[in-house]
Amino acid sequence: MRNKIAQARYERKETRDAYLFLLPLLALVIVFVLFPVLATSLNSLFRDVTYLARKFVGLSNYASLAADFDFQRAARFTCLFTAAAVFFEAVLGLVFALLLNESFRGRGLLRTVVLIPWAIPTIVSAKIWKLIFDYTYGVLNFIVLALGLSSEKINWLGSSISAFWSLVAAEVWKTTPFMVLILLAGLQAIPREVYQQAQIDGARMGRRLWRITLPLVWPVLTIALIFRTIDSLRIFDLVYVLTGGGPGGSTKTLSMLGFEYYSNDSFGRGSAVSVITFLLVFAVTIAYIKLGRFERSLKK
Amino acid sequence: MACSVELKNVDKSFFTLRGRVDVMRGISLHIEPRELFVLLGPSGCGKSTLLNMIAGLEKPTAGSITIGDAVVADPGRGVFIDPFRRNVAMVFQSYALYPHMTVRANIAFPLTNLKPRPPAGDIGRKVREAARLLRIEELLDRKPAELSGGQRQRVAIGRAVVREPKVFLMDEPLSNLDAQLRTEMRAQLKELQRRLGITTVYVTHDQMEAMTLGDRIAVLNEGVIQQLGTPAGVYAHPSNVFVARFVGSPPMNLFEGAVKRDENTRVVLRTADGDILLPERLGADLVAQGKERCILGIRPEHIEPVAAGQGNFDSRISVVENVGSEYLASLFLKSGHIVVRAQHEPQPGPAGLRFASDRLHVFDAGARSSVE
Amino acid sequence: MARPGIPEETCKRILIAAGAALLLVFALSPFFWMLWVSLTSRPDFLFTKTVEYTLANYTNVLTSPTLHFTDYFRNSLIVASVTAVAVTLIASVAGYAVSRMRFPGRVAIPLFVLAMSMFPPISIVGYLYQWFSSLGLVNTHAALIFPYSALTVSLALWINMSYFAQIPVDLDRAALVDGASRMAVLFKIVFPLALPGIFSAFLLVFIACFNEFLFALMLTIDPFAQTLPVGIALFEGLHGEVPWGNLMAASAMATLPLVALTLIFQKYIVQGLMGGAVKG
Ligand SMILES: Nc1ncnc2c1ncn2[C@@H]1O[C@H](COP(=O)(O)OP(=O)(O)OP(=O)(O)O)[C@@H](O)[C@H]1O
Ligand SMILES: [Mg+2]
Repeated sequence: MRNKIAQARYERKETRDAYLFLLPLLALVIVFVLFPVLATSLNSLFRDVTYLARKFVGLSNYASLAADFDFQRAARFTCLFTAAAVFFEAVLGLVFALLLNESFRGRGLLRTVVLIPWAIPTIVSAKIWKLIFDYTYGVLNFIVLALGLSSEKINWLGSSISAFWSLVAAEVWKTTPFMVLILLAGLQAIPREVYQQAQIDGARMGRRLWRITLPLVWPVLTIALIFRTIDSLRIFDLVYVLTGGGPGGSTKTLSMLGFEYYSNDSFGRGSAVSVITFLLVFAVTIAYIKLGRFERSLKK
Repeated sequence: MACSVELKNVDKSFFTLRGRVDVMRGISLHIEPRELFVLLGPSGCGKSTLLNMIAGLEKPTAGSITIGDAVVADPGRGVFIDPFRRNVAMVFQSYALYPHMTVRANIAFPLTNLKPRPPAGDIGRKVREAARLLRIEELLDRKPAELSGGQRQRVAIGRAVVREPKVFLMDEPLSNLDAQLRTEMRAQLKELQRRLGITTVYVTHDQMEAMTLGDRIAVLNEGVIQQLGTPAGVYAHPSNVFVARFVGSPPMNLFEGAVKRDENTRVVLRTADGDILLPERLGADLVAQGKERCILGIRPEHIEPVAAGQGNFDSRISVVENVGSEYLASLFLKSGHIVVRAQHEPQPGPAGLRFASDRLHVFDAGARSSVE
Repeated sequence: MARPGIPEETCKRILIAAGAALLLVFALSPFFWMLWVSLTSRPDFLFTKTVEYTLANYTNVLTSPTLHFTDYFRNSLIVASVTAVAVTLIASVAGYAVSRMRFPGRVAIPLFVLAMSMFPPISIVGYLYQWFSSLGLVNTHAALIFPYSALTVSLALWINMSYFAQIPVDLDRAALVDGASRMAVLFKIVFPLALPGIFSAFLLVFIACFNEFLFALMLTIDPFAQTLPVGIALFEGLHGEVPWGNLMAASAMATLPLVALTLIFQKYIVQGLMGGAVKG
């Protein structure tokens, strides 16, 4: 008996030390992420509004959301916005990464410059873009008039379609640098000899891009897409400042909807929206991992 | 303060994601104070694991390890002394010099960890002494990246000797050096170990290194000690086929066959390549023991090429190589590659091989262990 | 084989030049637009074609008692620095355990922490608001520091793990045999060698906290605790008209420290982003 205890202590010494080293990290994550998430999930099953008694209502928060036009619109907008933004980021990011992977004079400077949008706080960039799209003072309207593309100023943030694309533009500007950096790392990991061999084998530029570069950079692209999609699905700050969800609530995201419910002291419904948001995020992540077929590389 | 090292029935298993891997079974060793003990074995046999267990970098799964009179690991009693409390020194194959410290700081590092910490003057003096011993005084202010392989090696040894540890542990310390430097360092290491008189456990996969360095050697394979003894003893009397093949270069020649009588009623070993005539005494013994199959072993230097029909075995020499002071003749048989070491140049073509009858080794065909 | 027409080399040069120009315009024009407006007296200068350059926007933002710019700035600085220091320490010690020690969960724990970082802030902030309200924590720096630490620690952990993995394990083992305790190994061997990585993690966490908006919006109430992004987002003029000049000046001042950090420590930031993302 005594022996068993001694043996267990012998085995556990390193384990105990390791857990001691991990304790602050785990405590932080569990108390301030896992616990609130669980509480939110639980809360989504309650009628929780400040002016009424808290009451268990099962899934009825979800049921009423499903039937709610505002919610449907926010869900659709969030998904479409994410798809558009991530697509253009990937294309533009790939173009710039390919460019910065070439050697030419001034490349170092460009690599620095490309980081600037990343370094600017999202709220600031939202304000900048708001001014760019501004009806009265905006530089975009100035350009449109100067080039004669339109005879009068356009209210960019005034229609739901142009507001959508304005948001996409601002998001793409802010987050393309991240894409560029990740893809550049992927490109630089491709050995030079592969290109030289392909050149000797007579593959011209376009073919080298299609047959060599893209397939080899694909795993890295998948990872970058996951990160960007997760981030984009939970977008709040950019939209909150740039359009405020307007016009007429047409650019409200799921996070904004949740925030609105919270602000109106409707915590049960807000929680339900939050739960749906993270379920969406997890579903999309799993889909990427399955499609990207890189379970193996993740496990390593 | 030389210490003995004792391992009793040590087992080691790793628990990985793929399950339990047993890498060591029932290791028992007693290493005498001041001894230079060599652990010899092929890659992956568990040499490093064994050394790491003595250092405290791995925990045995069962059994006990004692350094001097202190039990340092005994899972049965829940004893485990951390590596930093064992006062052993280790030299790694990769040298493991701290890249951000100068040579001086590298060598001083073990001293700065002592509690209580010795005064700076003492540390400086000991570092200079170690540096003088290893002739690296002019390198003290360099960083490891600015040193050659041999110099790094010396710094690693300097770091090990500076603290006057109870035991030196060396894990293939010479294998990253080129052949010439290796021979030179080998001799220096041996001399240093003699002079300091510190018990040393030395790990290598190079049988030549083991033979020349060790007071005693243990041959390890698949986590089990195959044989323990002096280098000469192990070479002369390998206890099984593995040791016979692993120790010695070129390795011992082996012939497997059935013990039979030929038409002249002489005892022979009937192999796939023909009959090998056994010496009378040996043949009689094998028959008396009722052995039906066995493995006959003989080292290349104990075979003499003679005219066909004159030796124990007739065959064909295919290739003859001149390796400087002697010749190596190769025979490619159905049962494998046979090498003969000769002082005079043999001619390729049909030949007889005469075996020195007192140098034959006989192994059991099933157990593959030595008979007699 | 060789097709007639433009040689590949020329073609490539043209593409590079075009791409470089596009990249410059793309990355810099909004930034310069902000600076330009912040330096002019009236934001409609493009249309009126009369520009008057002035620093009035800057002096006004810095001195106006109602804008609280310096308060916001101070709050951001405190919250971001405290979080970055705490997270760097916590993630380094944890990263050491995960990359160097053997224990049940050494694979699962980093993945768990990574998974936790995927939860959208909105699914955390609602409950935190209720909880912190009951604790009286709302509108304090602590209300931001704790959740910020929890949200960024995963990034820091993964960056550190990718750096620690590059340090040969033999160095740790040698140090242990040389008589250094685990803590000594961590502080004398692993930290100095992984310093670039730890610094990357520090910078990224700092920048993330400096920029965070949703938590700050929800968990702080007034300029006593609100951070710069909230200040700028809620920046309104007295008469309903947006004071674009002042706003852009405030934005520029909020941005310049970050842009400076990014440009000076570009190497670390780039490596950190890659370590955190590609390995993750
Ligand atoms: N941490 C580990 N987890 C699982 N198996 C391990 C671990 N470390 C070592 N092993 C296994 O234990 C066996 C012995 O390894 P060890 O490193 O001791 O070999 P070695 O004799 O030193 O080989 P080499 O000459 O190549 O250094 C190997 O089969 C190895 O795969
Ligand atoms: Mg080894």
